[in-house]
Amino acid sequence: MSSGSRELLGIFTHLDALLQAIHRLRDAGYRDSGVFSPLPRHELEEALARGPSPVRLFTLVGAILGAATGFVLTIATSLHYPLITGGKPIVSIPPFLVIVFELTILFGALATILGMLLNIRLPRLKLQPDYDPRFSVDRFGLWVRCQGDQIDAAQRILHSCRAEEVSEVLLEEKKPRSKRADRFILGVLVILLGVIVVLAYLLPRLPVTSDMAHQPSIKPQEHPLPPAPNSVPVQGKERRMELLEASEQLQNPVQATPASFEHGKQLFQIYCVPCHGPNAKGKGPVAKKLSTPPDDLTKESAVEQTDGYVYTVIGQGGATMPPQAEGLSPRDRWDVVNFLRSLQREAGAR
Amino acid sequence: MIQLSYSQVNRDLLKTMEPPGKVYYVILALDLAVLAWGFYAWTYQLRTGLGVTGLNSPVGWGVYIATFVFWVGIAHSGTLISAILFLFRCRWRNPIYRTAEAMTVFAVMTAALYPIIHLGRPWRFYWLLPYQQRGHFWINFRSPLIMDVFAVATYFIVSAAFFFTGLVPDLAVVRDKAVGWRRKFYTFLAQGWEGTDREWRHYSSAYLLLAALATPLVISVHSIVSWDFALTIVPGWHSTIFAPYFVAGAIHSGLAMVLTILIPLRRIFRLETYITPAHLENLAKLLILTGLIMGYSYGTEFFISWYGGNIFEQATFRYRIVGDYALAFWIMAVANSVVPLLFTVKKIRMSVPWLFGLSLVINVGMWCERFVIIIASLAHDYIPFAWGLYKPSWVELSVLAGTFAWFFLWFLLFVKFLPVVSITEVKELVEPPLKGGVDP
Repeated sequence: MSSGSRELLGIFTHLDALLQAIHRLRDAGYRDSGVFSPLPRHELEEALARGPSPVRLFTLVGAILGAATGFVLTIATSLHYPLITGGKPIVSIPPFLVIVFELTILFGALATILGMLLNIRLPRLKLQPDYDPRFSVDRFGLWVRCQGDQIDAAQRILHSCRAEEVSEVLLEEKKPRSKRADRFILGVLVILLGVIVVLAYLLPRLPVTSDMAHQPSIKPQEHPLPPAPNSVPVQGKERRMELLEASEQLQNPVQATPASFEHGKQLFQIYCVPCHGPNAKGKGPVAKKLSTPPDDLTKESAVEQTDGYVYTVIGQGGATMPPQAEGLSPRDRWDVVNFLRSLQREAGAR
Repeated sequence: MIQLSYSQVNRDLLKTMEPPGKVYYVILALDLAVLAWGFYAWTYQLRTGLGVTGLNSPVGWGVYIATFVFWVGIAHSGTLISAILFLFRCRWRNPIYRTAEAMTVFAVMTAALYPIIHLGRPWRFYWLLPYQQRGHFWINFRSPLIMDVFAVATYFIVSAAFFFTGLVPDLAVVRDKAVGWRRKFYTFLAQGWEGTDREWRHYSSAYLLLAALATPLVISVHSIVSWDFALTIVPGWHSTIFAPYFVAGAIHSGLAMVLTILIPLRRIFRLETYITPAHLENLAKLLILTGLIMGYSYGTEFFISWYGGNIFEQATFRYRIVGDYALAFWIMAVANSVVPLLFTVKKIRMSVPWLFGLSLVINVGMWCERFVIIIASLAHDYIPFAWGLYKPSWVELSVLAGTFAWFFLWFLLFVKFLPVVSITEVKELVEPPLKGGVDP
């Protein structure tokens, strides 16, 4: 036999016999060997002592690349066309981080797959000549490559560990990849790409009616609806009226009932008495501090004003009087008007 | 440990791929008929416009978006079983993970249809992709809808890659047994896998890393889907609890769907040796956990609406309980948070018919949850003057049926073209053949 490189393949039924064979070959100095197994076993990994797989480096690089792509994509495109949306800064990092995160994962995963394929030299369509279909069922294979003159010793070691079969593999047949298979994969990819390009060209040209004007009207717009049941009543905003307009047009909608009177009295004491005084004569405790004295509300010119006028002054304020609309709702203000009228009547009767 | 030999595992698990009987073809034909009807309804919608759906102001998101959220949620549990339980070294997942992972991929494929169907002009879906549009102008990365595109696309690519990676060693098994055109087909799919130590070393490393990447991904996906809602100011949506609440709900619905699929599967293919009552029991126990989280989330939503003192929020939640969609609300509340508690009774948890029945109930409950969250909030959004009710039209229901048929079509093909139980990973649970004793 020639002294070139030759390969021997032993087929094993039992895992422990295989492990023994691996160790014995190692001890005898055979370094170039490997295993076929139907499943990954930690014992095999330990016996072969190959060290950690470099796939994780691919993952790391892919993930970093993904994060960088995320940042560049979001920030650069936002700066390229600076359009403020939602009142947020042009470079708004928190929402961009979501995109960064997703691209980190995506690129990391794709790089992991790429790293795996590169490291195990896949994909390929032709199997190695030393592969046996039983390896995917329940048999383990151990191949060892050595110089021609060492092959007998290796054969003895395999037999001594109760290999089921030991045979020599013809190395000439062991080609790394078939060119035809490569061409086949390439062909499939090119055809797929062609189909995508043609579809991308044709699809937008299909005569689908895309204009709403040409589509039948299924549901015309509805008329304004009455308030829906179960709706939450919320106070609307008042229309701002000019004083003159208000005094002519506004009618007092609140009856001067005892309840309205009581409520108005209470509010009057809180909001009006400090300046206008308890009898509305303009002599409240704060009045002394003011340069312009507060009006006497019982004087004739005040009594003659309409309810709408008084109501509007309370809400909008007067020359020096501050507006009270913030603290008093419309209903509150009408109650105050009702109470004030009773004060004026009292003062007039006296 | 399963007391079987490696070759027995191969024989049993390849049996599922034998040529199917008449019943299979009848089911396939029915499924295709429903799919065709759904497709017809969609083309009708395309020709006439979105007016044929029940969508109108104010309810602009209806059954389509609700079912999108539902299917994305279904997908999550597959990743939980295949990736998260893998990282936790829960070996019991090995026989069931293939089916769960297939469910993930098919569910995302189904979910991804909905946003496209929901578009008035679906041929312009590519406007969502990042490329420079007319006028130097790019998509708005601040919009949760764009984040959604990134999340769902990443999720589909990564889970499909993870699924296929796990399949390759099994495809080699199928290739070695196949003859004729099937041999060529599986030779192509198996990519030249031989099971060498070099292959296993890099493969195991890659598989672990993919699982580690899929785990945070799955949590991000439904969080981002929830932000489609939570980042608006619609009462009932604008809530910080939405992300964890949606993720928990997703896993809840997915676990129920895994049970719904696994139980007929093990019965039809006689896989009782591999998918044991213990597996189903473990899934039921997980359902108790997620059911409790659901109950807690519902409670928190109501508590915060009361405690927060926002009258609009309170009105929305009152409307959910007693309003127009109260029926869906009560189905959701009972089916998702009360029904899973039945699994605390061991007899129910161990009984296959109960598990199957209750898993269907939870599936319905989770669909109702998506419906209630989306539609009941939109129907009473801001101005009482503009409130309105939504009822799905026949077009929407037909499309809904069609997309369910689409999901099951992929599943029907899956059970006959791929091994439904991972042969390699089941072998990892089997005691390896040992001769015993060491030779001198």
